[in-house]
Amino acid sequence: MAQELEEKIKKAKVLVIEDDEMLVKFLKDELQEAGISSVETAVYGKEALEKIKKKKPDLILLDLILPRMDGFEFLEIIRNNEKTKDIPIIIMTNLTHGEDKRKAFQLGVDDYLVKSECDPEEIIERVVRVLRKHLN
Amino acid sequence: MNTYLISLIPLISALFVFALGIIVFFRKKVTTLNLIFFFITIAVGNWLFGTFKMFRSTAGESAIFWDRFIYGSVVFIPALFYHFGVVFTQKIREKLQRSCVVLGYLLSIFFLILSRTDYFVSGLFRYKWGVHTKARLFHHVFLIYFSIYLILFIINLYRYYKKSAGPIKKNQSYYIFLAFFILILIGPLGYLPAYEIPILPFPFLSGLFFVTILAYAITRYRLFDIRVVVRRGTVYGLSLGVAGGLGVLLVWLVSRYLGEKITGLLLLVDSVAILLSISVFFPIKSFFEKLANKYLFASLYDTRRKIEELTQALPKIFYLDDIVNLIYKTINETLHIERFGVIVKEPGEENLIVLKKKPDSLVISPFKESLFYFLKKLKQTILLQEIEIILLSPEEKEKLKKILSKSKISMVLYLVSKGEIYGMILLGEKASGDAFTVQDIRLLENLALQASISIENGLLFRKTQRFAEELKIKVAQATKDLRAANAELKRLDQAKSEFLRIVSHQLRTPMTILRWYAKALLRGDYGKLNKKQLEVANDIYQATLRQIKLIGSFLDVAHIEAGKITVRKEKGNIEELVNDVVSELKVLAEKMGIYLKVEKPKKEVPEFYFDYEKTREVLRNIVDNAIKYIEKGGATVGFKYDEKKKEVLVYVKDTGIGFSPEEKKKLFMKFSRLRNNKVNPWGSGLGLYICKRLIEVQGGKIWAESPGKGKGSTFYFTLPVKDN
Repeated sequence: MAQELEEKIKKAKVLVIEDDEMLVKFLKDELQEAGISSVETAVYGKEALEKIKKKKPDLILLDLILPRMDGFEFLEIIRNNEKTKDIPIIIMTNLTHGEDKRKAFQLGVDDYLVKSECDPEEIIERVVRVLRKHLN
Repeated sequence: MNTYLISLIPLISALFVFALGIIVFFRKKVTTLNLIFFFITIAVGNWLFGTFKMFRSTAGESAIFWDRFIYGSVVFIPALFYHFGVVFTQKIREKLQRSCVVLGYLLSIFFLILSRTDYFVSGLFRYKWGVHTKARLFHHVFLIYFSIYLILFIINLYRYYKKSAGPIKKNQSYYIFLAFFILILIGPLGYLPAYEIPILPFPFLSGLFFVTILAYAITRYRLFDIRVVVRRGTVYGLSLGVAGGLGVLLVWLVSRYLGEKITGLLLLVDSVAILLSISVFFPIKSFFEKLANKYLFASLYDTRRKIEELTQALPKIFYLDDIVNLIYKTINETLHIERFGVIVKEPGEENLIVLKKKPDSLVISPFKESLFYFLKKLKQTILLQEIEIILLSPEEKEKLKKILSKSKISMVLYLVSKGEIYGMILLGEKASGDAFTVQDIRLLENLALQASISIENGLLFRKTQRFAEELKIKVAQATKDLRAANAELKRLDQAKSEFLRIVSHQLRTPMTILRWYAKALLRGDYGKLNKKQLEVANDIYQATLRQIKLIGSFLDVAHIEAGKITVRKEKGNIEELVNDVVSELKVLAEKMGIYLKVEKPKKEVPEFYFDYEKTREVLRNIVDNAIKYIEKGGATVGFKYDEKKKEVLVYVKDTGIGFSPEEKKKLFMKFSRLRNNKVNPWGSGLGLYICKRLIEVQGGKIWAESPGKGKGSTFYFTLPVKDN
């Protein structure tokens, strides 16, 4: 169920980088249900970088296993770029290995979700939390 | 008796002897031995010639004269022979011997003078075959001197013969001994006529035999060295000229002052002059020799010096090539030998290898084995110039000759180590074409001995070097192989990681979709559901949760089996962990109507290094299990620190179904599940196995105890406390 969100959050621009169509569809629906209307999606890292260049998002939901460019690689590029290094990122992955989580946090992410272990509402909760923190 | 014809025999013999003497003298190089022999032939020749003349003389006076003439030479025989013996048996260095020789010559001169007098011989005995002077007082004395010296001489010779080793030396000394023995045995019989004993004058034949035997030995057995006649000839020519000149001068002076009174006297003076010249010859020769050595024969001394230098330099060189090259250079420069070869058997190897050959066209490989065989058999230097006297069967001799001539090798020296011959130095002939002298051979043999040691060292050094090189190569290869293997391992490892990642992702993605949609459905996102629909939706949702958990367990085990667990120890508080787990599961416990509490220890447990994440998972698993297997009662979680064992113990005590001793064995194994009424649909049978691995990877231990089935159980695990 959509919560009452602040206007700021509603106006936030979210970029979802995920290669599974069904998951993307669901996430987009879910976010929009929650009130966040501006949802961009990308499958490839390169594609995502271009979209970022065009329109800087307020939040990135990033999967770690992507075709062609690896999620970590993408993360490094984003974080090494002056313009993009402070965009909040939530990792959404199915990798449960502690090492992956540690590595992600070392590179500077705001949250780390294991998709199969979260229910959809939890995801929205975390998204809002991060947006709230960042936009204030 | 036809004395005329008989008298020819000694004449011919005399000529023969003189000729031999000259041939020997000029054929080989002149050494002391040579020279003495030459004078021996003169003495013996004179004896024979005198005998001839004596047979021919009809007048008593001339007979006497010629007898005296014979004695003029014969008086020198003891000294000459003794001198010869001393030089031949290499005792010339001994002071005693030298003194005896000098004494001998002095006595000879004494008796020479005496022989002119009537106190020596006088008067004649007439025999059927001719005449002979009568022996007088000093003749007897002379005979004593004669006997003593000759006996000592023959004893010397005999001893030397017995002592000599090596076929060449043995042959030499044998022939010499034989020759002199015959001479001494028979020759002195010639004195008998002086004592009125009418034996026929055959003893002079022994002189012939003697010289023949000796000449044979000389030419065949390297008795008298070969040297360049031209070079040495100069010295001797000069010496002879001077000495002879003195003699002629004396004759001329005498004839001048005494006039041509008596032809007999003149002849006597002739003889005296000759003998005098010969006596004077020695010192003059020495003088010229010293002079010549300084200016003409510097090379002889150079050779010695160069070879001495070589033997001094050799021990300082390690490299085989340098050693062999230096040896070649020295030999080439001193003896002017162009053909050279060194062949050795490496330590521990079977094959003969050619270390060096000059020129490169030198063909020796086909023969090296045979040559080596011969060398080992003979155990001494092989000289082509002495091939005849080598102790081999005729066939073998022929074979050896062939080898040496085909490869144009004149000398083979052996290289020896620890009494075993391991190699050889091959030398061609000297550029001058001369044969090798005794000195050359001695020097070269000495050099070969030095070379033996150096070359052996060089070979060992090279072997060591080669071994080191080989080792380097092998190590480099092994390192290369290791690196490759390592790289491969890394690659495999990475492949494993990739695989796990992909599998993780691929298995969980569809589950994620199922879960989310199930939840959304349950939430009523797609419309309100009736009771039955809700039930179904919930079942679907729950099923996805089970599946996700199951996949999780399998992937954990896959990670563990692949060795992909990394332990991260950080300083942490075990109490914190326990409380964390308990608070998470308290709700579930309460829902199931059982208690879940924490038992704190009396003594505080300090912070220590452990893997928080993994330990939490373990504890959570155990507590979760406990809860599931309890019908009533509850679980207690406790912890404490064992200072002695330096470990932290955590335990979970439950009032659950417990387990039997048989079940205990299988508890922590893969896919073991306890049978009970409440079949756990969530269990994969991997939970405790994973716990065990996660604890063990931290260096801890995990185990469980139970009083029996239905009597509850306690699960324990320990974690080590280290000081880092």
